[in-house]
Amino acid sequence: MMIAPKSQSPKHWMISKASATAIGLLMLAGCQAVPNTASRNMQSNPMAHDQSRMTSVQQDVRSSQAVAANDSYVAQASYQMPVDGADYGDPELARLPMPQMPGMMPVAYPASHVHSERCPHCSGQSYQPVYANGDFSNCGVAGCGTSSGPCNVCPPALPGGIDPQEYIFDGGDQDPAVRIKQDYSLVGLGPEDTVVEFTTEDGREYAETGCRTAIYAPRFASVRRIQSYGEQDGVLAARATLKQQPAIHVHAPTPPLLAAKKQGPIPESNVDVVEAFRERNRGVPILMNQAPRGWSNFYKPYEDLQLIRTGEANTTEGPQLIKYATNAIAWSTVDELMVLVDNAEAELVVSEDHPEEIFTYELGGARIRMCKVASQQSANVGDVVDVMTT
Amino acid sequence: MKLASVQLCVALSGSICIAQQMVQSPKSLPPMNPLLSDDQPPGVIGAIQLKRNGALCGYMQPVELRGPEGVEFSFATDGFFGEPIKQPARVALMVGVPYRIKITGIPFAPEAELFPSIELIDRTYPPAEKAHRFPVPIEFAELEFDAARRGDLISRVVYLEDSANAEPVSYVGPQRIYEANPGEDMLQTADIYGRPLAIVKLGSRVPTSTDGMISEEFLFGSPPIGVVKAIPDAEQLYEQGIFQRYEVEPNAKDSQAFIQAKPIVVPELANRHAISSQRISDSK
Repeated sequence: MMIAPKSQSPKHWMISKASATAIGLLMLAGCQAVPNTASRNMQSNPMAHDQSRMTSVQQDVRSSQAVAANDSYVAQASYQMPVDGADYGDPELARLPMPQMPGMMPVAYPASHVHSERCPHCSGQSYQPVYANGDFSNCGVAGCGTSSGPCNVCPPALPGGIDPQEYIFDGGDQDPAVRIKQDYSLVGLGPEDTVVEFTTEDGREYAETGCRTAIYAPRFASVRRIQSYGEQDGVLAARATLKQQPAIHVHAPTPPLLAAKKQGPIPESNVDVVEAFRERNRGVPILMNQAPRGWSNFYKPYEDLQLIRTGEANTTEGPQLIKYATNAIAWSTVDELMVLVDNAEAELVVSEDHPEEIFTYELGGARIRMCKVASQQSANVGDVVDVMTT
Repeated sequence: MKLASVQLCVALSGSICIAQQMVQSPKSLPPMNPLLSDDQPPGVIGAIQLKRNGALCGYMQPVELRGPEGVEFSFATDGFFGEPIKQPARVALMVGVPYRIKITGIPFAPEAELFPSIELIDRTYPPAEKAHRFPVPIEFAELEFDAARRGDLISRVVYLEDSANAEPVSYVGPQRIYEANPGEDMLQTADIYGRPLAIVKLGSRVPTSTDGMISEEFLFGSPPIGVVKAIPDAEQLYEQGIFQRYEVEPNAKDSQAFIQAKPIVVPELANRHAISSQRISDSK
């Protein structure tokens, strides 16, 4: 069978395929242009489909089986179409409808032509002729061909709603379209494309597109992660620490005035700073990303006093200290502060029932200075009252 | 007034164009936060998937459990693990329901027993009546067994590669594994490379038993397990008459079958047009 477009009379033709090793692949074979014993054997081999499945991508690179017939280059694909159950050799299978999913459309093949009668190839579904100007007779299958014309090769009837990820496609001409340049080189030939390039008697070069075939060939892979016990423990500890010690006090009504308090970073075990720096994912709070989240390096307004920061009493802070210490007394349940030093009750020398109490101990010098402040004196149910003792 | 009306028309047309672009181009949508993450306990993601896609309810997805030589898998029925099945074990599991299986016969630790959980969160769509030929492979490696016995937790997300983005190389051997980086969500990664199908978690947890009966909580209620028909091998197909044996003639060089089976010799791209021109001149 020769390819005979209407306007050209081909002298010879060649098959171009985007494959490094096998150029000669053409789904003209699917057209059964040249009846081929080997190809029929392949189609009757049920294991052939399994092989195409197992080495799906290999076939995506088109390790095709090419055969020579007469003086022409004719190629035959080494895989087969996934629609015909009988072709796969399953004895219990007849041609069964493909599974359908509502709301999804077929993935390929515009309805360029629809059989008006039942065709054993495409079951009346839409298909795209291999060559628009082709003049093929039927493909040799019994019952092929309808009153609407000869049956050009029916591409596999892609069922609606099938996930195209499970298929690989071979043949056709996906964008960008194949073009012949002036130096007779082809451009736009994609990995899946199959085109026929031929020269007419008057020396003109043409390229025609083969049919696009879908092959059910799912390939699976997996994403894995192995977490050791220590890493698990580290994650839990880090998360718990972060919850207990938030780095930012969002309730602070005013910004800090002085940041002099010494406080280390929030502890996170198994710190791998180098790894975190390389991956630049410091915002991911999991596993090995153990970079410090921040520092609590400022005081809240009610505790931002020089007496608390440095221990030096500043007379200008007297009103504030009285206010916040009064707040603390309001939330205290004890009548009087009791101090024990070395398991011995300290001797109270001076006791004044007002804020800014001063205790003096005869223990060879001052050993402790205690100051307790609170954020507010009264609060409603649900309010948060912060109390600090230093 | 006319100018103002023209400006209004231009403004309206511009806004319509922008609206059309926003509708037609989903790529312009802002990045979204994923709803699911891989740190969910078994069964959570499957339940969400069943809510999102009702067609998954009740579907029995064939899977194939593989492992090192000698490994056997047992499946729970009515609160007890059944007879072990040698690998590869092909069974059909319900989508969206977690399963607990028992692994025995580990090569380096014959006495050890591991109890991983398997959760199918999606299904495949093979041709009709071909599902048994395309099971979802779930593999276990010796490394994972060793790590699980040390107390580690191994998580796997099996996904279907996107044929449009898959690496176009042939690969025969153990399942391709992408090791997730720390802090990387395995579900999102699998979703990038394809379509997540199954979540497997293997640890050192042992069953909690009461009066000899394993806790149903541990077995996730012993969900149903389907039987997958076997794939006939070539010899069986020969016996059934589906395959035909062909005798190869001793001197088949001149036979038509040999000519047809002869691989084609494709000219190099550089000189194919020279050959073409030569043929044209010869014909003239």
